[in-house]
Amino acid sequence: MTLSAHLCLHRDGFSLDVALSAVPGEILVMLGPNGAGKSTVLALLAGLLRLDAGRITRDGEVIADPAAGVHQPPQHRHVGLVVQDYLLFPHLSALENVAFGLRARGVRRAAARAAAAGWLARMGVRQLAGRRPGQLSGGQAQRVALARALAAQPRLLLLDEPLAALDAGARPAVRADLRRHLGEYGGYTVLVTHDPLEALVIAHQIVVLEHGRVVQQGRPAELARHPRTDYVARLVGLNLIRGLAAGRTATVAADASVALAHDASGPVHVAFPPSAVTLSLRRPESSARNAWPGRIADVERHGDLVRVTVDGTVPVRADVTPLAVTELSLRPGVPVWASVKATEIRVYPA
Amino acid sequence: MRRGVALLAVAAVLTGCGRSTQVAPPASTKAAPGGTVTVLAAASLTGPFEQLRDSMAERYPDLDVVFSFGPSSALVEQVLAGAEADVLATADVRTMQRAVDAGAAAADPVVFARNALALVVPGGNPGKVAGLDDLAREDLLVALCQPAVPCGAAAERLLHAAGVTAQPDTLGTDAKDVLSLVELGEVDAALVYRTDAAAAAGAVEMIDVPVADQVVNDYPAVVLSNAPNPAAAQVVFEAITGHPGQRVLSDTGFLPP
Amino acid sequence: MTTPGARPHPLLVAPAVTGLILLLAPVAGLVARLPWIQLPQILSAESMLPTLRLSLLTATLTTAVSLLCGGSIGWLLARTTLPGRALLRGLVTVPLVLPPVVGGIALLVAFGRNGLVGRWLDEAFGVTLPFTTAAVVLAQTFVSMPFVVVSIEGTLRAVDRRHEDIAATLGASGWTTFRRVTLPAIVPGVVAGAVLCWARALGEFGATVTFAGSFPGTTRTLSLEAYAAITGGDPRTAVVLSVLMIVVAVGVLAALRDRWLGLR
Repeated sequence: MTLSAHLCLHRDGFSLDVALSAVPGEILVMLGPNGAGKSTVLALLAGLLRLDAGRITRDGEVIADPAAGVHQPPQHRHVGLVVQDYLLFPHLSALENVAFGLRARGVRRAAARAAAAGWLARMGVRQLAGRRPGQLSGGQAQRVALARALAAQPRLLLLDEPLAALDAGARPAVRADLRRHLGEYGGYTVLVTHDPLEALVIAHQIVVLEHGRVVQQGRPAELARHPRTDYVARLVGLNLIRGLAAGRTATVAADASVALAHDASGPVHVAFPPSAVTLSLRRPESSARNAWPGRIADVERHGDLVRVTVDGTVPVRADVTPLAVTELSLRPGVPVWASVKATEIRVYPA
Repeated sequence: MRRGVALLAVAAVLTGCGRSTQVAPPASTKAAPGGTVTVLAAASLTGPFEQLRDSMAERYPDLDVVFSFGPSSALVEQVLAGAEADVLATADVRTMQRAVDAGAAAADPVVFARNALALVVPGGNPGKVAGLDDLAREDLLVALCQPAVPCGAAAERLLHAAGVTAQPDTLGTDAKDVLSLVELGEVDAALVYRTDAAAAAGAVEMIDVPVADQVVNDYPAVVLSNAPNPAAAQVVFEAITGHPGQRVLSDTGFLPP
Repeated sequence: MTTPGARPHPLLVAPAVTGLILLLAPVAGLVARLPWIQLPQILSAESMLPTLRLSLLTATLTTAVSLLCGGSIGWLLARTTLPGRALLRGLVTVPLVLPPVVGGIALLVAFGRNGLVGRWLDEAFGVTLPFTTAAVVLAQTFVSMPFVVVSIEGTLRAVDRRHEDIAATLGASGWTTFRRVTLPAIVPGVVAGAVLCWARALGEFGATVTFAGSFPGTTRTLSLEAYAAITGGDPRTAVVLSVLMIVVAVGVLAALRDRWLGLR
């Protein structure tokens, strides 16, 4: 019982080549920056776009295989699609929106409406059944859109940034509900987001997409601990440096190395949080510290702290207190030393 | 420039070339007439009136005659609405009478020509039309002028005289309109003025209708009471009703009054 | 700063008033000339009812044909990547700027008995179009259909096609999606196009009189009757018919404004 897809598409200079697989009851979250091809993956899975090459199978059934001339149209794929702006049919009531899928598959009106009412009740919006989409708030519309997708009893549920259009205040509650409903849904779920927190909270599996390629996949905890690209590292709030390890030293640039707390060898990722970085105007005395010179590129507020980006042979981001910023006069262009304790550094094979 | 052209034309008359008509200056006008004279005339008068203007240009170089041709009843409607015009020439007396009744005429109208109808068919006579009786055939496409305009009224009288109940498929606003449909071959037969048929002789065929001579239209002309240029209007009016007009009218197939 | 309630600039007032007089004076003139006393007699004339019926019938048939054919063209223009689409759109809208009488002449030489298509129709099927009610519909369609094409294409372009994608994922067939999702979304545009088309067809004159001729009961619509009246020396009937058509046109615009155009 798996959904297995190898998706290849070439459009106007954009090339997508993604392999993924999912198991029922687990939520696969696709995480990536804008333009990475996340929504294209969903359109290919839904059948709204045709594969150039590759293959999609679900529970052993071939759904799309251009080489064999197979392309199941969307209406035969039993997919549910929920998108960022919900796309509720504006001329239909919430109830009629939810009943649409059942009606389209030939269920009688009364039965379809009864089932739709049940789904609205499960989403906690039974009382909105008679409203038009224009009269719903964002959170309400999101729930109706999810009910509409689930009511059609899809075997594959696709969600494209389902929470992105909500304001920050409404998001936590809707996210918690979404997580609960997705947990109750027993089919395959693929959710697309650019919000790492959303990914970490909701996902069983995360696939990170950049420029149409999978750059990393794994369980959320593993991803958070061992990012493999700058993008993922930034998402999970870590500094990430590639290097070549030998014993307790990893060479990360021609004239820079990192002292490690444990032995390692071969190509490695060196990761440490910005909070572990200390900035000083002169070279620090302590020998236990890794220290690299550089110039401040950027200073911005980051919660209660200030995040300072340092450009040098080893580029790093450091979180310091506002007091330190004032005392050291940290401004863009100022030369500084960035240092990290070896015990704060995580090393894992690249 | 205009004077130069006129001199050339006069030279042509003196050397005896061309087929221009000598126009004697009317006795009633002392000075040579000039300015613009606007003539509203029935569409069927287009040919002869344009010839008449050309011949008058030689004699009266300062006179500028402007025509507006159209269905007679529409012309009368324009006059009654206050159109600035000097002379009105219609294709029948009944239409002219409406202008007279409304006090638009400066004097009594004078009939200056008569016209009879002709039965015309497209080249090759596809409908095999032999006479007026064929206008009653359902299988033919027949065009007549609408009864409210003079050529339509004349057609009604002619068909009545011949005892034929025609089955027209369209009623044109004037004879020229109807004639175009015959030329395009879109209708099999039509009743138009004999003068129009003669002008289109190459494109249409005329079927001889003996009874046609019994139904003729009188063409009256009049100087209008609100003519902006009454003196010159009188000159044009006399040219139409007098010898030069009669000559071009008879050349183009009109009957004398 | 110019605010909506700003005082009109004096330089704009004179030309604006002139323009208004130009637009409104003819209507006022017609109403002033209405022969109130003879009105019942004119309106109850023997030819009035068949003429009115013919006008309504042909304008309605024209609208139906235009919706079917023009709607399909609008769909092709909005939804396909047909090569030469820009050219097609240009051609389709030509009748909007063409003098109707030119359309009539073109129809006559194309669909007339001796025309390009008409000759073949005559030989193959024994069908001749000119001077028939069908010719009236054809002439009206020629000048009115572009309104439907333009409005349906525009509305279709404004529709969010992702709604159709969603409907497809919910299991709706192409036809169900069209009927339940696309059609409701384009209804305002379709109605606006249809009403404009109907009004234009009702008032059509030049193409009709040239191609279909003018015969009471068969091809003489209201506007042809008005022209026949004014050229036939019956200005009173012409005035009455003109006012009648103005009433219909204003009624149509009022309906459009309130229901669909959102100009309130």
